[in-house]
Amino acid sequence: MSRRLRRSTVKGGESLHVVGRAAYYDPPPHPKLARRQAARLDLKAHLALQAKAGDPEPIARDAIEHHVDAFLLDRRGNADSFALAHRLGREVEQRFGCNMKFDEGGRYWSVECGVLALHKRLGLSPGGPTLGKCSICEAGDFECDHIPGEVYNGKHCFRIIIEWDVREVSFVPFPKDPRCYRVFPAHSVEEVERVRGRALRPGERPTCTHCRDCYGHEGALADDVDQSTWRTSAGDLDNE
Amino acid sequence: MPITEKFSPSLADWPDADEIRRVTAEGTLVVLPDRVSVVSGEIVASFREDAQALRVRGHEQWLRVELLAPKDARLGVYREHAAEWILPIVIFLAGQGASIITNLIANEIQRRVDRLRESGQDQVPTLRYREAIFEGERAEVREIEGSAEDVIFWLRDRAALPSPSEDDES
Repeated sequence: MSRRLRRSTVKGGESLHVVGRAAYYDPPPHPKLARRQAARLDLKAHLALQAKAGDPEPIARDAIEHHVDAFLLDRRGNADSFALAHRLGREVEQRFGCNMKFDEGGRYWSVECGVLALHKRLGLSPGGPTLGKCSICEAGDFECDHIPGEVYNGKHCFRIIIEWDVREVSFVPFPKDPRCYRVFPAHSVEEVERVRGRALRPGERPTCTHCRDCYGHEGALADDVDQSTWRTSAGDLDNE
Repeated sequence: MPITEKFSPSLADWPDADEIRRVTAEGTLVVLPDRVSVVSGEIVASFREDAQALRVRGHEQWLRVELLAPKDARLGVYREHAAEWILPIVIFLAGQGASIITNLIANEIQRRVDRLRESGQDQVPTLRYREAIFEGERAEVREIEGSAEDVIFWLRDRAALPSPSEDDES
C-alpha cells in the first residue's frame, strides 16, 4: 500500500505539477527477492502475451513495476532490470498503447509508469509522526526488544506502520525508500496541445512513447547505476 | 566530507528541564522526542527510528536508557524518508559512563552502515548526531553532521578522551 501525492510547485517562474508515490506503508522487499518476483512476473507476462489469451496487459504492467522496484532497490546488483523494464514497456506500448490519464479535476494529463522513475534523480520524502507495531511480536512502539532490520529465528524484523500523520513532503535526491522515485510531471491540456501543435480532438488521449525511443532497452548508463555521480536540481523533476 | 558542528534551539516539545536533569543525573542515557503532537486524538511523542536500537542495545549492556515523554503520551516514531539520517536527540552525563554511551551509539551507527552496504546500497546518507546541552536555564541542541564514518570517528575519539574526573585523579 502506498500514499499518493498530487502537488504543484514552482520552477523558474512556471508552475510544475507532479503526481507520485510519497510513501509506502510496507517496508521495501530485499532486492534479491524483488528481482526474483520480477523475473517470475516477466515470464508470466511473456507467456500471456504469446498466448494472446486472457488479459496480458495488467500482468505485463505489473511485471514492469516489479522490474522497476528491483532496479531502484539495488542499482548495481539488479542493473539488468533497467533494460528488462524498458523492453517489456516497449512491447506493452506497441501492443496496447500507453494512454495518459486525466486527473480527477480534469486539468492535467499524466502517465504514472514506473519506467519513468528509472530516470529520476529526485524522489519524495514524507515526514510526520507514526504509530506502529513490531512485525515479530506485534507489540506497540518501544514495547518489545526486537530491532527493525535484524533477523530473529530466520524472520526479518520490520516496523508495521498502522497510523501515519504525514505533515510534509520534500523532494530529495536520495529518498530513504527508493521506490519513492516515482514522481511524474502532470501536463496541462494547454501544454499537451502546444507540444502537438494542435487542439486535442474529442475523446483523444495523449500517449507516452518513452519506451519506443529510449536508450533504456539496451541497458542502463553508468550514470543511472552510480548515484555518486548525480548532481541534482529542481529541473530533474521533469526529465522524461 | 568534513564534520560540521552547529547549535540550534531546544525543541518546544521537550519534557520539563528539571525532569531531564533528574533522570540524567542517575547515569541514564536519556532519549528525547522530536515531536509531541496529536495523532487520531491521542498525544504522541515521536522519537527517531534509531531510538529503539539504542534502547535495546543499551539494555543489553546493562545501561539505563529512558525515552522521556510527557506523561500520558503514547510513544511513536517520527518517520522521515529523507536523504539525511538523523539520530534521536540524546543527553547523558559526562564522566566514565559517557564513553560507554558514545561507543554504544558509534557501534549502532556502524551496524546500520554495514546493513545498508549488505543490502547493496552504495550511498550511505549523511548522518546527523544530536545531543541536548543544558547550561543553567539555557537548553540547546548540538548537531554533528558528516559522513557516517566521520561521525563514528568523532564519537570514538570523544569516548577515548579522559573524563573530567579522570583528569582530576591524574
